[in-house]
Amino acid sequence: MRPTTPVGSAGEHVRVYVPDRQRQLGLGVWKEMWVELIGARELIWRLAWRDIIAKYKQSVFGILWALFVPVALMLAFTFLKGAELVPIPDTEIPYPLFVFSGLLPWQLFATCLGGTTTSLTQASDLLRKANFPREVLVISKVGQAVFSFLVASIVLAGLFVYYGMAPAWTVVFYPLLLLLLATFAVGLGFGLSLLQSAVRDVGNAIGILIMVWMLLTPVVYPPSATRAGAILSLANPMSPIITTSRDLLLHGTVTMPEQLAFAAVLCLLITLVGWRMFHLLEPKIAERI
Amino acid sequence: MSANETVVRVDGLWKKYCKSLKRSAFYTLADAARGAFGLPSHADRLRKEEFWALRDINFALKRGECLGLIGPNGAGKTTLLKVLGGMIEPDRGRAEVRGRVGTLIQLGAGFHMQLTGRENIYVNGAILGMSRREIRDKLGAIVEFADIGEFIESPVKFYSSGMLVRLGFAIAIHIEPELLLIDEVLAVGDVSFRARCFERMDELRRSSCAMVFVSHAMHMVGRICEKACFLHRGCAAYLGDTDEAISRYLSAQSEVRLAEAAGKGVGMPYLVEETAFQDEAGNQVTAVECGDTLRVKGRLRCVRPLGEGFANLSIKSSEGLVCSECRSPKLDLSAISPGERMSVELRLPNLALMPGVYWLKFVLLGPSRVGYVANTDVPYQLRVKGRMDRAGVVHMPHSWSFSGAVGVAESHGSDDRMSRGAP
Repeated sequence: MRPTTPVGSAGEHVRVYVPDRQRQLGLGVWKEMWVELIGARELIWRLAWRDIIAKYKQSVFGILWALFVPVALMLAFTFLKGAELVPIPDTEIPYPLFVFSGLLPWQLFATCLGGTTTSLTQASDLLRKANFPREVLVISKVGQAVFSFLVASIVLAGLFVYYGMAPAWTVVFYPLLLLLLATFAVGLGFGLSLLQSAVRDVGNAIGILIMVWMLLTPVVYPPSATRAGAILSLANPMSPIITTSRDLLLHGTVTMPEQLAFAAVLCLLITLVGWRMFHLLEPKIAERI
Repeated sequence: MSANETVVRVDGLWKKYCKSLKRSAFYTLADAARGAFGLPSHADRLRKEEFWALRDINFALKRGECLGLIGPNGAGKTTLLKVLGGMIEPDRGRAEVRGRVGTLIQLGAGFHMQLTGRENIYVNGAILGMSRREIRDKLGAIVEFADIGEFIESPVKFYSSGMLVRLGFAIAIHIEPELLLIDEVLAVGDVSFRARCFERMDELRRSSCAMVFVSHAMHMVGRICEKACFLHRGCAAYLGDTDEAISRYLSAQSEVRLAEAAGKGVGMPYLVEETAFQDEAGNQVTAVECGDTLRVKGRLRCVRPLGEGFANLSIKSSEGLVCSECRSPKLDLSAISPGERMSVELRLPNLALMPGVYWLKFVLLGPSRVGYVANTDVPYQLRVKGRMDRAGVVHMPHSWSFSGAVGVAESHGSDDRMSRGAP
């Protein structure tokens, strides 16, 4: 939907609505998707901005909430490890810093995934009454997650200072990794948000899914060289992503280059498929939500 | 752009919906799977529990024109608006829309309750397709039009529903659309705001914006639209002249009511066998002009003898308002035996009804003046011809006179006689 084929000299736009329009476009649909996305970037910013101020406006602790989850988890796991309740192998760097450097990108991923899943159902009112590229609802959810990430980074900086350490120089590549991570979350979000608009069970299940996924990812423990660990680092794209993010931040090396490359290709593929499916079903969202 | 350019063209448009939630989800997935493999979806035929919400709609709209969409609830009016707005995709046929589309469908949809009115202007404007610059330029005008005072800095959740509509309308109307889709939204605002909305809509039309207007207020449709479409169960039952469309719709509505009333009162003492409308000369008529003389003739057959009663004619407007009742003196009916017939004639000189469709009900009342004592399932509906651009049911005889440099720009017809010269 929303084809914008320029017609006439005055730069006027004619929109044509016909059934199964995308089928007639062939591969040209990718170009249309891209043009639409670029055209909507202002709206993405605006919606992200809206979510951020709306979230912190009416709460007493305001942006401190962004710190709450990662800090609480860091303290809990530091306690569990220190009290030897959970046998987590020793790490080269101080454990609180280790666990926080894993929780930070994981939290970004989890917030993106949770937010995008419910993004369509949350905006059902708007979907029925206004015409705009529906992708923006999903993509704009990254804004809030990135904002929380930036706020929580202050704690990370504090930890570096506390332990008298400095990040490795490779930290300059860190944003690229976050981009991959966010792209992956959005790609999954495309599919999950569509599913959620058809069956509401998805929204209920997503919290549990994220929790289990975190336990299967080396967030609070170092990656293991065992057979199970090797399988997980291939089957679970988040495993090399989290490990590499920690490598870039703390070690200045990349310990899983092949797995990371594999994960990156997999993530991009999933994102493209998700986006295409989303675009295909986009015209149906408003009437079925 | 030429003034005569077509803004909207709809050709053989069909749209179907699914009644069942589960099936709807299944069909969506099935269509998506077919789409993913490049196969056509099953868009053009009905599957189980699907129905056509729109069937074969065709029309074109030029710049500055306004189309009224009227019809009973569930006729497909909003569905058609949504197809034109691009919210939903047609299943057959095509719709072509030129230029920017403004939608006034449920104003304030997408307002975020925690944000202030001003913040919401930025968000809503962006959703409606305004650029950041455009919003900044028009912010002042929007705030002024909404006219909600200091509330513009308060969270929207503290707004009254009227204030929400004001803000929503103010934003939507400032995107300078070439096509405006309006869905029964003006009913909420207060009188002064509504007046300003119409003023602004007139302005937009002069700057050659086309409109599609959905409303149940017939006098509004009559006032604003030069053509109208009467939708009935998804079909365009009539498309063309506004007055004709309105009277067809009102007639259809009355027929629905009559059908509901049919069969009530079976076994009553009298049966109305026939009702007829005649003009002064005695010709059968179904439509009259305001000011004409109307003769209502009825024939009743006695089923069971009745002692006393009254003949009664009630005149109801198409909206169900009883405009008037005409009652006979008390009648002595004791001499009529079963099987015998009686005739009655009622003369209404100088009929003072506004143009519209009326429902005349001719019955006998029992001695206590309540309750019918005659079967009444004969449809009798009267149409009063004329422009349907005014509200009300009673036509007050009147004449206009003006002083000063006032001329008549356009004469409405017989009932707006104006005397020239100093009063």
